[in-house]
Amino acid sequence: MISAIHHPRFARHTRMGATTLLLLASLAMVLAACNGTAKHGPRHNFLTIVANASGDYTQNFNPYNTANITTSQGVVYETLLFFNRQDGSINPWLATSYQFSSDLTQITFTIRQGVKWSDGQPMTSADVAFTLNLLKKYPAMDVNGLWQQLTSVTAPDPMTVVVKLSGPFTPILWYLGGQTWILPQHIWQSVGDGSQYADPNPVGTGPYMLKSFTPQLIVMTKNPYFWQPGEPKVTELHYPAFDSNTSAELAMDEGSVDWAGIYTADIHKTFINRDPAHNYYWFPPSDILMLFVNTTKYPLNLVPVRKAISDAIDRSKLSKIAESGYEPVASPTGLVLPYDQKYLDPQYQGLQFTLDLNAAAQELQSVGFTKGPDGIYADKNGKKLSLNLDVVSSFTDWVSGSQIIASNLKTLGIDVHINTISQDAWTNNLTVGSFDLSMCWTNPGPTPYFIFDALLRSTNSAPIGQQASSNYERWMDPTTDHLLDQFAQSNDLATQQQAMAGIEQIMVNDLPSIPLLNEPYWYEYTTTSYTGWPDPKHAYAEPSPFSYPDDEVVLLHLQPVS
Amino acid sequence: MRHLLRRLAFYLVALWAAVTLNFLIPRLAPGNPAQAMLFRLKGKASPQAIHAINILLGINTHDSLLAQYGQYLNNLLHGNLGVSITYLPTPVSQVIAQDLPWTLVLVGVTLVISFVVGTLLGALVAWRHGSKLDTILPPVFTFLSAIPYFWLALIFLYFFAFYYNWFPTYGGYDADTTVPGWSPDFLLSALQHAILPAITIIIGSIAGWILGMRNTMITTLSEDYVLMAEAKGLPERRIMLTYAARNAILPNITSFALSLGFVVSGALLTEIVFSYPGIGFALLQAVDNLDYPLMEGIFLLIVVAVLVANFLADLAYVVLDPRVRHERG
Repeated sequence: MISAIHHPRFARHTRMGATTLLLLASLAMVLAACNGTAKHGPRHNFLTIVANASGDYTQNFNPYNTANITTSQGVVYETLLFFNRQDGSINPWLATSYQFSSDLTQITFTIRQGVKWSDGQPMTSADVAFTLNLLKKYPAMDVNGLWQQLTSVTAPDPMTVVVKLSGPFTPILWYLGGQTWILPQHIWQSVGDGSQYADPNPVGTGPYMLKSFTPQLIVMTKNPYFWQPGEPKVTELHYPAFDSNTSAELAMDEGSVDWAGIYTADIHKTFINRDPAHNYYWFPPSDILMLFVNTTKYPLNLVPVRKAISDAIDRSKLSKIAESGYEPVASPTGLVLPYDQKYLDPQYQGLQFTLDLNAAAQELQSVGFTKGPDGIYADKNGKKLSLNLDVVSSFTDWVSGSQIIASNLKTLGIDVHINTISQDAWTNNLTVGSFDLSMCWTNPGPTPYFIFDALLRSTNSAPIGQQASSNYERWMDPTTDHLLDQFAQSNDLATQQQAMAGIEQIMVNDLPSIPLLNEPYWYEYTTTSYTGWPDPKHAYAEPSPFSYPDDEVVLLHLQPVS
Repeated sequence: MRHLLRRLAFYLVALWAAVTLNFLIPRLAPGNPAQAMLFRLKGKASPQAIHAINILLGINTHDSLLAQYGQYLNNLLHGNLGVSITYLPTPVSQVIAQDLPWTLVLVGVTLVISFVVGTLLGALVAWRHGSKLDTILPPVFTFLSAIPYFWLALIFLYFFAFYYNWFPTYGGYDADTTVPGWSPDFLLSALQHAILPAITIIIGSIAGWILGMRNTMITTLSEDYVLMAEAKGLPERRIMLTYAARNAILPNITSFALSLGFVVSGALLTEIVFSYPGIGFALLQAVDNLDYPLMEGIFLLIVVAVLVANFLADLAYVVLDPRVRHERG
């Protein structure tokens, strides 16, 4: 049978030619359109910031909304005080001074005169009192739980705000002065429930105001009424939207980003070496990466077992391999060193974790564990020492970290099963306490109190099966609570140091949670267009663009390269 | 007509079932959105934040599942998709409206291109069965589409955007210099940003169209009516297109309709690799944040689009295939 497909005469080259021509023509158009995509060369007169990698924006600048656009805190809405967490100093900002009453139950703020909102209206103590009272009225806005401590806020005159507390509680100053974003009463009084307000065109006292918004890019421009004369020197900020760290990193590597805060493996090769004269990074510590241990579960309720686990972990390998060496080994005291140096008990000066398998073996043997023929320890009843370690599948650095921990513990004689799970399952397991071992960050603040309060206070815990807010290991200890109270109810450094020494002792001796590494702030920058960036010698603020209101302070230190 | 009405009834039942599953499945997942929101802050919130977030999201409502279902259906009937949790307090419809145009253009256009080009190429290689074109083209495209899309896209991004600087590395347009609208500058910029993602999508999907078309075409070519047409001395192009291809294209039309429906689900990997705006990433955010309203809104959109596309395919069959008309009409 003759079939059409075998006939060469069917070939029609002319038509193919036309198609090819068409394809070539469109290709030429495409290439023509591609001219000028390279962003190298002369710099723009704006500063580009990678503030997050979570996709397109919605127009929401509400500083009290967890879904807000990161640029509103600090850059638009300011705080009463600026806490430099790098040196522990507390600096005047919208308030020129603050004063605790002698019994520590009242704080009086003196409000800076001559500050104006970006619409030209004056900012007064009435705005401050309005903001704080708004948080009382709408508890969904009170994300730091201020009104668990406050009883009243009044503005007796235009430059004074008086805050009354239900009892002495000095750490409130951080949330009150450092993390409460002052809102304009003349705009927010008609908003109603502020937690449900998107605040599309924010009016703040900060150095910048919104110039234009698209889901892909936010442009901020100078606030003409900003209270610091001559500031800001950077006239325009660009916040492009990125879907992933990878694409943010490429943009950074090709030089189209001035300021970023992203994790990038092998930063020397990918970023620094591309322009060693202008590209820099600095990863100062922010908090402690903990190995959370479920202290309610046998045998993890036994201190020697927790100690054995801690002794057997090779933290320097963890730091080098899992975290590219960016995260140094944590202090056994749970303090973030060197920042918390002034709270370090002299007896723990220089104390470091050491890998010590013999000590670990002795700890296990001291509570009756014996090594079986398979190299795994078992208790008197023959129950094998076998634990689960939860890790989020998408946190790749933690996944390799877990593998190191598991193999370390296996060497000691503890069988560890790694549970690679989704972030939902991981958060759920941590909060309801259905885990053995799990890695997680801690909640930092300007003093070590904040990490320990979240980590160890019994009221931040909950029975197994119920949601704990941050004390996931479920450490319930009256002594610890008492020491935390002692710290919180004082503003005398010596008393606070004494309380902190007690907590450090608990951390070192009882290991309620096992410190692994210092978690860093990610921070990369280029000096091609702007100088004045924070660095180890000029640690005037937390340098990551995700730190608020430190982002504002950094921007106010920058100036364009002439 | 009766055929079409019957199909329509079927689609309504399918819609109801999909909407109900859409309501149920997210609620069976572990965890709760307040927790997810707290963990998104990575320790930057105080332990007290969970109380505020619970109030914010109204987590402590004790409505029964049935009452929630009733409320959900009622809202849907009024076109109210609710408020997104991830992007609170932005309404779901606004999040979708913001992202959908990008997805429709990028994924829709690439789908049409790869369907048209792939089907034509498939017809052509089948027509020249055994020729050089036929021995080279299908294996090459099969090889290309067998490469994991994520990897292919990253390689393209690295070489053509980052290394050679021919294309931009991220975004849907140059937001620094252009403003969305109908200006030539913006359209050119958007085109320039879309080319690389589009090429990767086409490379990743075209082989399916080519092979599908080629295989059915080869079967069709051995039919007697094709031989008859040849014997009549009809022009080659007419035999290829109106005799062989028209009959061979039916399975490809079905898959095209199905793919058309899924256009609205976005191209997640493309969006992630190229930081391209679109609905796929919004859906990922919704899943990560247990954002039921946004998840439900996007799934609803997908369901409706798939059903509509299938209905259109049914219509196309009526036009293309006389048997459907005669048997059931």
